[in-house]
Amino acid sequence: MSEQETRTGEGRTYDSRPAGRPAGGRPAGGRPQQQGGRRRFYARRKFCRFCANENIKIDYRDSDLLRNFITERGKIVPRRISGTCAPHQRKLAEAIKRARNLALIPLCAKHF
Amino acid sequence: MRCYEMVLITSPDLSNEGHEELLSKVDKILKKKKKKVEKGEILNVNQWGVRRLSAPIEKSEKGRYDILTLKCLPDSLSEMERNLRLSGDVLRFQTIRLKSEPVFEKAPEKDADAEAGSESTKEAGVAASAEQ
Repeated sequence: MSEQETRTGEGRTYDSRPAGRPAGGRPAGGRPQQQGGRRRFYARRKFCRFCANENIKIDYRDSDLLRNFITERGKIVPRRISGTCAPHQRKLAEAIKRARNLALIPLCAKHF
Repeated sequence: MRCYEMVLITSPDLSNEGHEELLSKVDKILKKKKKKVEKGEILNVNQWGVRRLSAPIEKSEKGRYDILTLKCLPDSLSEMERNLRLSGDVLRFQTIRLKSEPVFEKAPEKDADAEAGSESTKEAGVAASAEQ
């Protein structure tokens, strides 16, 4: 009996997590909300780095810049995380793929 | 005539003479046209030197990078690429068509300076740091 009770208890905590989310909307890449505590979340407005500073040009040879937009496994960081606008994300993706082909940035985690 | 930018990765074992020979061969193929207006040329060569590759290409961990700016007809480009594929010293190449003709300053020897004229200063900085 006691075992069953703990199980249902666990089930509740599991269920309550997704239920807690819609209230606060999708946390914009912030920390996961703490349970029980006061909900604190600073949604810093994301912005497109290339729109903010037009001097930054997306170039496949600029591996230092492109490295900011790949994960540590070498994947392209999605727009919803990086905040890049759609036209710039398209250019960025193309540049990353070109740089990968030229072995300027890693293809996968193995090569780090 | 179209302008292209080609990144050429050659084997680091290739000697300087062999490297020059390869570049002159590229130039020769582009110029191999009967009509004068059809003759292509290499506008600029930006040598990055030997760099570590992020992943081995043909079992080579390093490669010598050159960025060539070309002006030629599409068919001489494909002819040149065919020759590069046959060459054993070329690890990889990638050609990109440029929308407009790049402007190089009077001294094409100094690549970092020349590039600042046509492209952003950021890129020139990268090219300069890669050369070091």
